[in-house]
Amino acid sequence: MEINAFVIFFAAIFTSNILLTNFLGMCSFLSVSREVESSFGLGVAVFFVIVCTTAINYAVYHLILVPLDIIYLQYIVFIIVIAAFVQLTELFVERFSPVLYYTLGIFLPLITVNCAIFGVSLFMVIRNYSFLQSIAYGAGAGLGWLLAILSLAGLRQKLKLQRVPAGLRGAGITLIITGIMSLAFIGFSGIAVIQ
Amino acid sequence: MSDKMSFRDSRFYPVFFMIILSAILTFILATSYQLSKERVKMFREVSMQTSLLSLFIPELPELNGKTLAALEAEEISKLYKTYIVRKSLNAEYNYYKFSREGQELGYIFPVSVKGLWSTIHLLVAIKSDFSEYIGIKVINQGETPGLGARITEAWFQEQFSGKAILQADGFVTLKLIDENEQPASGMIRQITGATVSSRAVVSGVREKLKILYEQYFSKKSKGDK
Amino acid sequence: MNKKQIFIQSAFTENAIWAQILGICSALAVTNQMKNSLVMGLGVIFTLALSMFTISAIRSLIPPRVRMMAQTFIIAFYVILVDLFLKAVLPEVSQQLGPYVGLIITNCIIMGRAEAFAIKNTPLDSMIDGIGAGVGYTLVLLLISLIREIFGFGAIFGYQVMGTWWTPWSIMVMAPSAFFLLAMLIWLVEIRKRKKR
Repeated sequence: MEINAFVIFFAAIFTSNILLTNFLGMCSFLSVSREVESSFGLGVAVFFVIVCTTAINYAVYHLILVPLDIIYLQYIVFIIVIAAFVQLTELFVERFSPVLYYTLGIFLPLITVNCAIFGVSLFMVIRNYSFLQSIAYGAGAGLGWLLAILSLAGLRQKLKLQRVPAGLRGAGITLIITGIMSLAFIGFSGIAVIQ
Repeated sequence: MSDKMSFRDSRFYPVFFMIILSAILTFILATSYQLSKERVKMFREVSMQTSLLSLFIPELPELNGKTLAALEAEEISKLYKTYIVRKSLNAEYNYYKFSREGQELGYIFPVSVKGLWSTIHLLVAIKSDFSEYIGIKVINQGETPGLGARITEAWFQEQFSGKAILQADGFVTLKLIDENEQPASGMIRQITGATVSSRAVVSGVREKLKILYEQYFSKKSKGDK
Repeated sequence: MNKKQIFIQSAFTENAIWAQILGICSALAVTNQMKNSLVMGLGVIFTLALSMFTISAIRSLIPPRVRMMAQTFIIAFYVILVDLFLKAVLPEVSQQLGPYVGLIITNCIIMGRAEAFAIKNTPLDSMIDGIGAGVGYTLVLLLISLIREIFGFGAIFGYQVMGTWWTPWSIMVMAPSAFFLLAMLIWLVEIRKRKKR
């Protein structure tokens, strides 16, 4: 009984957006979403890193951790893989494409502590996904995160000109907007019923 | 002292430090894993037996109104051996038969259904003539905590007991209604915010029972053998 | 600063959630039931207290270049211990929480306290600071989950408190309510802060 990878992909973008329903990746979401451009940069970087690290972690988990019976070390191993991958990507990008480095590179260090990336690897293990399913889930979660942070950044740029109650300025109003976005995304779940 | 300082400043010190640190931490973890492994394994076995028995609580006179959770692991195993026998249908599929004093009271089938995110594993207990559900029990799932994962809650699972499965006009389809509505017969209250998971359980279980019945348990298929 | 002041400061005045909006990622998702919030909170307190103690105890030995790496290692170590403990002693809770126990590792509060406090204070003070931060965090989680569970399920810690006349609000079970409630909480704290000034 395997769930179709496409279903997982779209569910991860819309009905069960990793940020709006699982609250993962909130810290960088709240701090970076002031400008549309930088949000896009961070979002793309997150997408790229999620897809790659999910693939690597899938391989590490099933080829190393399971055969050696050291599944209990998965948290440490996943974190190391993610940190190492981010560092390597940073080195490569800096070396081969300075332009890309200036647009994306600055966001890479922020990513190591982004719970969304670590979370995707953990969900993959808990839900017992196959390789294809894991990649679909990773790609969906990454795209969903990108979509959420881009929309929030767009909204926040409009908000600069509005009068917000003093106590709500900053984090408060951002959370309320995120809540409304989360409500809107629940609207998609009407679609998920037709499986 | 000066020796020590110079080693601390050397390029190898960070590497040396990390190796020592990870060696110590991994050693402690490995030890605690070994210590907990047996416990976890034993717990899994007992919890499977408890799940199987829990579907037939009214048929267990030994309980005397106590709950299964109050029993010791050995008592559970003893009860399990008295009442439940594992049977195999084919090379891959096992099911369980519950009988008391030589009388067959029902079957328990392990069923896996597709949830929203994950495969949900359940135990489904039914009367041996496929007439009605005795109960269901979710044993493993990876649905969203607080939403789909609530299929493990007792009220949701208890709704199944006594519901019809196979009637003269074929397999019954249970109707899903809102969590807050009052159910009439043949209706299951679904979990708020988790339509997909609730629906998956209801229709997945029905499909699996239908297949099992048609392939192995109907008079026709029994006649073939 | 004495021990009591350290505790109060890290638990209330500088509470990680309402003063710094840190660490909500790993736990907001389980705040629709109080039991899960409490277990998550206890896990965070345990991890914070012991990892702060350890980091502070070996702080002079940690080479600066691998500082972050070493801290992550130590934090992950304690989280794995929590995970093993839950699997062996409270398997059902461990199943319900799913990946959220592991996500304590990426909880920004822990790294934040390590960098801000443990790296320059004595082990015992750091441990108290860690417990304080953890308690403050747990209180916020419990407050949010109390409101969500009462309105969403009509229950507290799983015990039905509202009668059958009560119609549960589905919205409180779902994600958006957590965002709204947290925003309200931050708003209230801000208003109080402004009045004091």
